[in-house]
Amino acid sequence: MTSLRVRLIVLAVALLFLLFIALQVRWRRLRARYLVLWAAICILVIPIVIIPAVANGISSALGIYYPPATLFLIAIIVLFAINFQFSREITRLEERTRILAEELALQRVTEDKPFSDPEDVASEPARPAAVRGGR
Amino acid sequence: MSPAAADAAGTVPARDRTLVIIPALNEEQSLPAVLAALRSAGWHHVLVVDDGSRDRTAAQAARGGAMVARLPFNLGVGGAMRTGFRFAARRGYQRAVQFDADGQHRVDDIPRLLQRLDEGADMAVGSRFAAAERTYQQGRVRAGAMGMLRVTITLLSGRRFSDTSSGFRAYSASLIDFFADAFPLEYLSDTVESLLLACYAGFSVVEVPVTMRVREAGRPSTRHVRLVYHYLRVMLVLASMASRRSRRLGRVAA
Repeated sequence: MTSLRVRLIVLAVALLFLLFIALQVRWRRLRARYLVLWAAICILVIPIVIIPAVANGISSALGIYYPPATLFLIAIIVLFAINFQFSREITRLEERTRILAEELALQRVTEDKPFSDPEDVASEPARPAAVRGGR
Repeated sequence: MSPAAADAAGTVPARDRTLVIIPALNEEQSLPAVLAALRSAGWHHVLVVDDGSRDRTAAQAARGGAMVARLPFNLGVGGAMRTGFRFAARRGYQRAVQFDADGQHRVDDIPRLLQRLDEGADMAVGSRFAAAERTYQQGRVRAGAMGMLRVTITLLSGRRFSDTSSGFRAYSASLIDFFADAFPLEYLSDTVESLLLACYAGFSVVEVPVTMRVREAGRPSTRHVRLVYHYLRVMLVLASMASRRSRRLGRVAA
């Protein structure tokens, strides 16, 4: 099976990645829900890699003769699932963006007299009305 | 339909309860003539949805006396139309007419579409091909794709439509509410998918023969390679829609 050296490298990479995502959350580059997702994957990977018996056990249970293939299979399935979930989230975000764009357009409907929305003039007396939307 | 036809209250003329929605993308050249024709025919409630144009479409629309909803970026005809439906639903318009900014539709045909709504239809589609004579010229690829679409739609809906890509349509109040939330948004789906969606949701859809002119200005919005891709996409969407035939999607946006 895998040599001790390879296992140590993978373990180090996994731990470094855990640290990295923790820092990302700290810097607010990553939302906490994704911290949970990636940390869970990291933590699940570690025992599979460190203890060969785990991979061997799963392989024989699935009827796979070559244990590394089991790891690849699991990795592909997990990555596929995450990717698909991201497609769903992008769809939802895009829909929200669209609705915001439509609502913005409806908020600033001009009727006959363009650039004479009384609300805007009232709330921003300093700015000339004609500049609105020009930026 | 006569302009003097009044509603149940007897006060508001029918033309004041009807909103003409014009989705427009870079149509500053053809829009003034379209708006002038609408205005002289007595259609004063016109909403131009400027779909992120780079030219002076919005300014021309305002000058032509239309109401203008400017989208901050391009959403496609579907997004522009959904914006129009939202507007119509909130302002309480009883009927909406979808009309092209490029001048290919004739103002004189609008009352003929609305007449079918008066007769109980929820959606009246102006068809280039329902009439006996064929006056509309189109490319071979486009004609082929549209022919295949027509066959597919006939299979899926059990209905026969002669012009599935027409953008000249009239909508009833209940369909305005329905489409304010559920109008399909992707390219090409504004025509075909919306047709099927209305059928699946139990609305009655009819076709009205109209004549359409060759475009006055601007470029056609389709190129052939893209058309094939979008055709395939629409096919997949239609296939997946077939399984949710009974599900009612309608929910009016707040």
